[in-house]
Amino acid sequence: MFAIFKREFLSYFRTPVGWVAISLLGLISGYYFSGMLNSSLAYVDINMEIEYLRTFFIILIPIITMRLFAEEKKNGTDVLLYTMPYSMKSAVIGKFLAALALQGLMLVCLFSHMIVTVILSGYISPATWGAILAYLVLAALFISVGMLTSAMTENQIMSAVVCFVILLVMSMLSNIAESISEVVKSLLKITHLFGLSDSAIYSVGDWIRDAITWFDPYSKTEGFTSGVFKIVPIFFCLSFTFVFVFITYRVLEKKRWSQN
Amino acid sequence: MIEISNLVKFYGDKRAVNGISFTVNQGEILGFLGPNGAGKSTTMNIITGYLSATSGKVTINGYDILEEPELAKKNIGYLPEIPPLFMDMTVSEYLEYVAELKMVPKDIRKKQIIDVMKMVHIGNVSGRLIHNLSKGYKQRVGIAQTLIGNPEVIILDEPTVGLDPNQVIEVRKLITSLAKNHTIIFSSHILSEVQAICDRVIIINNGKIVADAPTFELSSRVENNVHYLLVVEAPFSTLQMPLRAVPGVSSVNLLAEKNGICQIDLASQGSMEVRKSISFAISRLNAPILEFRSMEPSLEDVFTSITSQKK
Repeated sequence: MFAIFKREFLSYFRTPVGWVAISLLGLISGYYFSGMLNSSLAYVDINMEIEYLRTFFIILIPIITMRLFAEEKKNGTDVLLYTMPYSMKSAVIGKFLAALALQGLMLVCLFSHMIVTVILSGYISPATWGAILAYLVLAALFISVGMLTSAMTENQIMSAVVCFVILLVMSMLSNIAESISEVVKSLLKITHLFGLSDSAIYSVGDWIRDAITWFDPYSKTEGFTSGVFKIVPIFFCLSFTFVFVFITYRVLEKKRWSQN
Repeated sequence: MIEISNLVKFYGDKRAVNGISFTVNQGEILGFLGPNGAGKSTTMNIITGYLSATSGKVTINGYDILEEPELAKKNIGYLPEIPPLFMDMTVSEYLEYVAELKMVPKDIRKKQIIDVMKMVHIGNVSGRLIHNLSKGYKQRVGIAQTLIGNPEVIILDEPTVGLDPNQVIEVRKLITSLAKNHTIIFSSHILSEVQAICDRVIIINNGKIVADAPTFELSSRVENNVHYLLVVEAPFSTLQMPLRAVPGVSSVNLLAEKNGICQIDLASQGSMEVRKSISFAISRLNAPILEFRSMEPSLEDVFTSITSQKK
């Protein structure tokens, strides 16, 4: 596992990907942080910066995950993963951890802002650590999605685009849920299907909205920035991460057995 | 050493590999010969565990590739058709990575990499990016990769394709030198190459083994029908009958006729020496011979001669 992790992590810096991703995040976070410093309020809230950075996941994560497996397939180096006395499971985990480590390394920018804040006798609330944890588990979940799309194609761009779309849908899940519930409500009202009363229709609509929103990782982890530490969102992200990592492994193993 | 029994692999409805069985003994160089699309690469991919067979069994050194993949794979070094090289790594970084994947113990890793680089003569490029190496060097790095971990079995899929003649000779030399300590399976679609290197040849076509014999035996089978190319400045109509009349000539076919010059394909039966009688026959016609040579038997000839013998 360590061999793959090491190669994968270092290769981020042999190619422009790692540098670009880190500088991009540095630019965005630096812009936001300097904005806070310059504002007339002179009020710095690292938690808000973390929340702001999370919205860039949908761009950054497809970039750092697209090459994980797609590139190996394209160059034929995936043969090594299949024919070495090395289990595919550890290869998948190694690659996943490499991408996560890069994501972690990107937080260097954030830490430097925290140091500046402390130097300027600002206040870092304990909630920040919770927010960073939530940031990382959310990143883990999204990386596992990106890794899966990368395992399913030979084309890096394709992988990035599909991953981007999935992450976009995930980030808009509460809006989507709202729209779907509205549509369902109107349909039930117009068609009088099942002959439900108005209040029943409303509760059905709400139920649908809540059911879909339950899957929204963003809103699930929102509370952390305001200092609410809950174990459920952490568990939620990690278990879905596990599911996607496992599916990635199955997709790769399936290739061996494929008869197409 | 390597035992393969009844290997079948389906691609859709097509049987890419159709009931292949053979055994390779220790220290043997086995040539795996067949036209493109015959199932060579698929078979090799199955032996190395890259693909799984629809049915059948592969054991390497007694370890089943599916049941004990880790132990079986430790004994294999594999160079696929496209060498699995990382263009963004230097040669030594790459070999170190492979050594880690092959779980070579840390204390002997460095030494082994140096030894392997010496063996395939890539020590002088160890610090260079693989991306910048010539095709010949890349192929050698690919071969070096198979030797890491000192596996007993080495499987090379068309290792000389795309190399220039000098590099081809070098790679062949390298393979022969490896044979001292390794069992080698080596695929090619060039008959002469297999004859030059291998002890034994398996010919495969349409996913089936059509011949499995020691190399010398195979060439004698093929030589049963020797073909000659003859270029004569005379009309074919005047040549045809006298050539047919030469004892031992089994067929006379016109390949091309242009500006009064004929290109003729002659086949002689068995090991009978017909060249003298042919040249006398033509000189009697007072026609100048522009070219006269025996032709290398092509893979197609081997197939036809082998399959016709079977019938």
